[in-house]
Amino acid sequence: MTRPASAAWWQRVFDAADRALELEPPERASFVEQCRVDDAALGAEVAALLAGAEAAPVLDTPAAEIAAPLFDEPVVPNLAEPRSRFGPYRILRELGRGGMGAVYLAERSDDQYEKRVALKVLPAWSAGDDRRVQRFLDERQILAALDHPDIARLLDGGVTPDGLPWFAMEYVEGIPVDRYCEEQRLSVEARLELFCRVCAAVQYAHRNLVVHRDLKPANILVTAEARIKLLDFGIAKLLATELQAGASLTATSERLLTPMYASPEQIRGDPISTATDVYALGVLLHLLLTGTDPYRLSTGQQHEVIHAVLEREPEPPSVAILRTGGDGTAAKRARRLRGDLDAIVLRALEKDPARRYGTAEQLEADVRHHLTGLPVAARTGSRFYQTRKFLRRHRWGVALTAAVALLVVGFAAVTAVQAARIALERDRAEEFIRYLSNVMRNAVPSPGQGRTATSREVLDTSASRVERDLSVQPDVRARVMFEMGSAYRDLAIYDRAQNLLEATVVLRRRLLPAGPRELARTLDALGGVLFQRGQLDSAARMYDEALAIRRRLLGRSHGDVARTLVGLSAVRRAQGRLREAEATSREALEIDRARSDAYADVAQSLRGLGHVLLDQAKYPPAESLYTEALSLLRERPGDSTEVAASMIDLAGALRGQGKTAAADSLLRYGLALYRRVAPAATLTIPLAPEVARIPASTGGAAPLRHFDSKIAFVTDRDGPDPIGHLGNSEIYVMNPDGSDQRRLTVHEGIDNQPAWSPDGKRIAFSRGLGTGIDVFVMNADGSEQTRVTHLTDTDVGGGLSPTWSPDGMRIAFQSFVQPDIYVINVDGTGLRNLTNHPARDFQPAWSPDGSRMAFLSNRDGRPEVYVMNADGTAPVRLTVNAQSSEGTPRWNPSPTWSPDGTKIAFASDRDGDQEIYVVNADGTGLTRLTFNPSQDGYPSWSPDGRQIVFYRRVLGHAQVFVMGADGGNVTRLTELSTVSFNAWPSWSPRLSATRPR
Amino acid sequence: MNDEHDITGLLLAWRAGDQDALDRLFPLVYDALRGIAHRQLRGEQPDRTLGTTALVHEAYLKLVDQTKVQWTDRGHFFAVAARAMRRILVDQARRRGALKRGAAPKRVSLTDFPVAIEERADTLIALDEALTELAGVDERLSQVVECRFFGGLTEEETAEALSVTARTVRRDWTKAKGWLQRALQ
Repeated sequence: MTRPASAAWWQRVFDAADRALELEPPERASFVEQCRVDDAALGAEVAALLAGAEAAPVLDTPAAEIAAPLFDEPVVPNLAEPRSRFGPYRILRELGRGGMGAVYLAERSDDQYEKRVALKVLPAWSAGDDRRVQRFLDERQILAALDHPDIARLLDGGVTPDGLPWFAMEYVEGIPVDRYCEEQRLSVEARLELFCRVCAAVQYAHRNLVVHRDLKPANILVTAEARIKLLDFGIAKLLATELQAGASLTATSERLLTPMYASPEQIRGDPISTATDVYALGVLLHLLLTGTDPYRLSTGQQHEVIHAVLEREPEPPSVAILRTGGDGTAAKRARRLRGDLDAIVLRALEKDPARRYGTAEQLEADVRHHLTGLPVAARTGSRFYQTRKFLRRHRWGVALTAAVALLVVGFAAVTAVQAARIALERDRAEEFIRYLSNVMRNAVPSPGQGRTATSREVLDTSASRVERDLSVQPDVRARVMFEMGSAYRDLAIYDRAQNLLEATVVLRRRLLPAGPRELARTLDALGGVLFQRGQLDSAARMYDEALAIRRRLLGRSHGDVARTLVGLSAVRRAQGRLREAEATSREALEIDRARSDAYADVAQSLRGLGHVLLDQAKYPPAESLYTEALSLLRERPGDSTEVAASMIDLAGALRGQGKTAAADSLLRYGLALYRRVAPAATLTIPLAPEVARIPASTGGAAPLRHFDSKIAFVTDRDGPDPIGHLGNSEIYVMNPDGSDQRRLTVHEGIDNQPAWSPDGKRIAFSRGLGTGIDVFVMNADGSEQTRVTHLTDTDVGGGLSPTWSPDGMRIAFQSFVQPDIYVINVDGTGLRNLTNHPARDFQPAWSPDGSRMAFLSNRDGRPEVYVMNADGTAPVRLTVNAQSSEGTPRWNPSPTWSPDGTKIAFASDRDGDQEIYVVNADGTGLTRLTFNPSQDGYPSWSPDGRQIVFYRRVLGHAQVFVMGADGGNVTRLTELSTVSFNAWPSWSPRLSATRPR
Repeated sequence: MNDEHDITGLLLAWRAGDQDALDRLFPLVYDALRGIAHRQLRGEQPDRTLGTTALVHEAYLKLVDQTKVQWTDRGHFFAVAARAMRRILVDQARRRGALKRGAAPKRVSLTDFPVAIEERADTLIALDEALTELAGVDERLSQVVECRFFGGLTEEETAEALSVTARTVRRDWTKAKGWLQRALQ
């Protein structure tokens, strides 16, 4: 990078920037403008400087955190070093080096076969762990048995005496399959043929019970002879056991899988099956057909990918191709992909593995059906065909995160329609999300004001702010107001919805040359709101204008035109202009029927026309329309409110024909269903007039459940990032079934490790203060947060990991700099060092009867669980091999006592993954409770000793789970959609029953 | 420990006006901090309990005799430690990213978080080089980056380290970020 500008020039720029930074944002902008006027170059540089400062989030992460994985990896041997032989192989040269070790070109030095191999050398284990070596060798046996011409053979492998694992694989020279298809400019048919061969190879492995787990183009090569070769079969599994030993979490997650190809169950840590490979094949097929990923990701950031894979619908290839093709053939290719291929790809990408093709063979078979012109199972079996719309959450009293999720999801659904202006979209999208989440974050009330932020409160605060805020780009502001107006509409708060949508219309009219589609959409939405409020003439005007715009822009047969027609027909009905209403809804239905894959919209049009016919007492045709609509709606998951409403509609049509018995039972069923899925009082779905007179019941609200204990935990979900959250760690409290999650702390630093006092009235926790960490105590409702230890600026360095004495008067904790177990009175007096041992002692846990303390210590070399008297005497070791590695444990063994004081639960990675174990307090009866490839830790017992809460960590996020004390009935308590870090759960003792909630 | 005495003594000497003290201070701090960094950054701490910014603070606790120094010396220590951290991290990055020597310099982004090992190494190396260039334009800006980014210090601590106000640090940080972002495009 060349900087022609001198230091003097930059001083001028910096001086101007200083003056700009003294001003508030509105004045700052005009100051910069003034600079531009005075000196164009200077002004431009200052503007760029200020903008650049906003666009460098990497600098806001401490460098040490970025650098951490660089320290983590042991040095992989170079050629220059003595090691150049592995088994019978001799290294010729290095082929590449990546996160998972190095790959070399090697040959057999015993001249037996003279075959060239690719030798993969992995990061070193701690030496001499027989268990792990054996497991590695066993796996290798299975993989070596795979013998297929399209699969690169695993030839050999082993572990050197000093602990370096290695594989020798058939050496394949080729290019990744996606690049091959591009370079050869293969037709769709040719690509599909290639894909079928890949499927066949994968299927062979599946038949031998080997799942690849890491299928991606880099692992699927095409050789010079146009042969397919699949690499690294099952290696991911072998490496999984490997990496836990040596790596920090971020290193693990980045090396273990390519997130884009990871299936939802892999991300969630659920069991892997052959359907996991099917998912990856789906991503691959999407790539080969469209050149892009299924989720339209703009950054490659891991949490964005994770969120997309778990929560967002994949984009059908026929739609995706329209964005990537720039050569005018996009429309033709889209037609080629629409239908069969869309259905096949989407079925392979189903979030639920049970809904995908079960095996690669089935996937291949369907592709071949398409190639030979036979019906494709993914389409004909209606059971398999899904179009799932985003569900807007209607519930009242939902906490902040749900409100943000609602708006972000709404936004994502909106952008799914925009085909052109991609680059601008992306910039605007980021700006939108940033602005929106900023606004919403500032709308969260602090705990002192009443802890639960309902959707309503947040929306109200944010909406009024947005309406006043002129500093943001008008089209971004318009979009935010549109989304908020739509959210209000979904919550049936029509007056606010109307205000916001009207303001949006005004803005969008001003921006008209740029976005007639947005204007049409807003008009359509506003029409719906005005209809709900009974302002029929105005509603009709909105719909008319939206209709005109849409017909002109999109043509008369577009789905959006049909939607507006449906809305307009409802207005005409309400005005009593039935002939017009009928004509309008017939037109809508005709349009929808002609579209492919518009089942949900067809259902809506059918019902709309049915309502008009019902009004005219034409019951038999209304009945057949409603029947058809109902059968379409029943196929789709979600949106049960529409199913219920359709049943009620049909009941009306039956009653009109005198079929009262059938009508009555259908009506009863429909009403019951409706009450169950939409407990809020307002019915927002249009019903035929007869049934609209039936009041929706507000009764039957779920009875208030009483809980006698709570679970405290830590989460970073309240961060500014709408997807990955990434906030400070705060302490939350929830019911043992995961409901009513409320935040207790608000702090700039890190609040962690909550511990309930034995009377359940207070919670001790550790708080990171920037310079150190100390123990704090607060009431169980978050009030009166007081500092107990003041060790941050002393030799002791700080305190963490607190645990209470049974009388609630003292707290034991671990010191920070030279970890020892200390004890202190809750009022801050009486600090005493209990262990005073040169080795590291940490994570103390006071026994329920107060006589003993469990803790971790590495005084015998490795960290093990110990028990000592509560005065620090007579420490006794309980476990052997609690932690498989030396030094401070990577994870938290965090021993914890059962309420009856007979058992201790803790976490250990002795068997490979971090799992939860239980041992008797005398050291006997070690039992393993969890069996799951993800990391489980930090157990805490329920007051009746029958359950254990813990957290589970997978690929960059963590969730709180609960299970029976025998390890059965594992249930998740926190929402996956938060994709944040939810951890360190602590179960309270039995609380007094008079808690009002 | 002898080292501890030396470091404390050197801080005092520096305060008393001995300019050489800084030169002798740096290698001691560097060595000590490198040991701490290697241990801490290899994931030994329970994750997310403590930020990696605790490194400099832990070093301060361990290396400096608190009974002998004043708070101004803490600021000086932080300044030296931040510079040492920069060297330590960049050296490690060079060691790990070593193999692509001779290849064209990579393009590094400050908007997307570097995930793979190579990307992390390249980012740190590129920032180091850009920072050297920035020092030629405005030395304090590069020091602010050293303190905030490499040292992980807060605004207040940076202000302490560089003997300026926190407001100045805040403005400098913005200007430096903007400059670096432009420089690396």
